[in-house]
Amino acid sequence: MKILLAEDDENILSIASLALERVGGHAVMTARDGFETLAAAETARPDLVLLDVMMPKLNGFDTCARLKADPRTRDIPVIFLSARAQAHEIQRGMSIGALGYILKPFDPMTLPRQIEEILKTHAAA
Amino acid sequence: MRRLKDVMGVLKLQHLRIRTRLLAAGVLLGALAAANPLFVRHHTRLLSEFHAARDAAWNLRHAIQDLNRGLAKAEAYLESPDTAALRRLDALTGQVTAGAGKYDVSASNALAVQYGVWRERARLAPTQERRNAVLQVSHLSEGIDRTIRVKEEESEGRLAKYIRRVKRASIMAGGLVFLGFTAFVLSLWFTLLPDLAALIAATREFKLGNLNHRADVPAGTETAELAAAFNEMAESIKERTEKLDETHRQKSDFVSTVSHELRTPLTSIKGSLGLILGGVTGAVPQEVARMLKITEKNTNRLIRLVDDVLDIAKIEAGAIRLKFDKHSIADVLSHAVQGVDSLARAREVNLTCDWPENSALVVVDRDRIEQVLMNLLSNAIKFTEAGGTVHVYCENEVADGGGTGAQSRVLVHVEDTGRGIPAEFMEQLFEKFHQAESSVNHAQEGTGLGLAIAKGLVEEHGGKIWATSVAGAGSRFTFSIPWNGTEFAEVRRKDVA
Ligand SMILES: Nc1ncnc2c1ncn2[C@@H]1O[C@H](COP(=O)(O)OP(=O)(O)OP(=O)(O)O)[C@@H](O)[C@H]1O
Ligand SMILES: [Mg+2]
Repeated sequence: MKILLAEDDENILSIASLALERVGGHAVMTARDGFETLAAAETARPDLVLLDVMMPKLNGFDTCARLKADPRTRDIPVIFLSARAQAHEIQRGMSIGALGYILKPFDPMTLPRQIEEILKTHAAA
Repeated sequence: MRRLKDVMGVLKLQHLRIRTRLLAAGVLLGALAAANPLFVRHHTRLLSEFHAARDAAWNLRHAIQDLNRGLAKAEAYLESPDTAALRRLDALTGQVTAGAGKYDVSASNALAVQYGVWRERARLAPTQERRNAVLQVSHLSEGIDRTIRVKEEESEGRLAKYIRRVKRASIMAGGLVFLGFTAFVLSLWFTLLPDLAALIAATREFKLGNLNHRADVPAGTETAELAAAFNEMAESIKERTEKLDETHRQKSDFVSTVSHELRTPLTSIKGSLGLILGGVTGAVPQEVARMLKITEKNTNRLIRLVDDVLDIAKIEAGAIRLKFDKHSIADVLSHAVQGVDSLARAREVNLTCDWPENSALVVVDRDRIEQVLMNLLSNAIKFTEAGGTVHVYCENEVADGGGTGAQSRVLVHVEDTGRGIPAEFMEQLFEKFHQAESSVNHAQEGTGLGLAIAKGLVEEHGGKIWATSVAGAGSRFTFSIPWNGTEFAEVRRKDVA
């Protein structure tokens, strides 16, 4: 699976990529802000966007909203990976078209499985 | 919300005041109708007539007294037959004739008897003159009789007329009062009531949270002033509410930011530890792995602590936002039980769950009630030895509705057969950072925030939480959730089982 990982924190970026590549066996591309994410989503057409919320320039919520508004990127599944853990923040993320909301800190060894489960429940629904 | 209650109180008082004012106005109007000038004039005239009649009767009584005295003298003159006396009798007769117009009935009867006696005497009297005198008196007597009868009829007629008039006047006054009252009620109906209704509607709207609603009452009416006061008050409440909302938002934002800032470095720590321990970065020597496991365990503890501390901070700052929805309490219960199932299994504690045949539908923030249950359940499992039992169940408690103000509620119990809680600790049980043993047995580590959070969350729902325990035998934690007492989940227990 080709995963676009949008994350501005270098440390988390490398940990998450490592987990997705080595544990999950996925191909990972990275973006460091919202606009990079939009551009990469359009050109590289990933199978999934894993989206941080607090990013410079364009935050994750707005990025997701734009992805969902653009017919070319509308169908790419989006899952949030965020340290924004308040109930209303999670609610907001889910209300703008994301399939799931994974909280930071996450367990890198189970992250790929968590993603699979979200995609599976969504495919079943 | 308390402020709004105060305002409702003030409004109720204002309504009451208006009502009493209206009542007073009604009474005044009635009094005014009764004292209507027309009625007063009519009455005054009748009264003066009555007074005149009474004065006439008074005069009459005096005249009769005079007459009696005169007649007594005349009788004396009849006895002595000299002419001078007779002349004096003539003069007296003149006087009597003049006063005769004022006689009354009883006096006339008395006189008739008197004259009968005189007439008899005159019949026996020797002289013609005497006979004449007596005859004259006799005429006089008849004259008096006639006059009195006329007087009598006249005054009877006057009395009847008076009674008639009083009757008419009373009917008129009654009519006026009735008219006044009707007019008053009608004016209430068409002017005040709609205004009051507008005001009450505005109050309701306001209570429902529409802070922009204002009472629309036309100026110049009784209630316009009140409406203006209401609107002013509404304005200031709106301002204050907005300010309060803003403060809440700021507090909540602050907690959000702190949470995010703490979680971000923890993510890196937990993530790298996880990858190393998971062998992703290569084989880890056993000794190193042991140390890293300790680090990982404490990192997880720290993460939990961050969550709990922020929850407590939010609860204490009043910045917690619940998202209420209708849920079957059985659903919430079984979901929470699933969440601690593996923990119970790991500690070899039996975990059972039960609810009434009809599961109540309650309005709650499901995640938060599950959080309360998780805290209670994890405690129960943590403080129960292997082989023990943790039982969670709920009851529907329907208020009798007997005006006691009691509200229906759902009681949720978490019962364990664990070590129990020392009696001296019960008071601090729900206080933050309090644990029964401060020298923590590290197999049961924790921070002492679980119950404080549970209490805060239950109270945010309008419920209560309490515990009973027998040291060494077990504990039972119970919390209540308000319920309307009538709504149940559609699926019944036996359908599931
Ligand atoms: N079911 C129980 N049986 C016996 N003691 C209990 C039980 N539940 C709570 N306690 C006592 O009350 C204390 C406070 O509980 P609380 O849940 O607030 O904190 P904790 O479990 O110690 O830590 P935390 O929940 O923050 O991890 C516990 O430390 C324990 O001493
Ligand atoms: Mg606890």
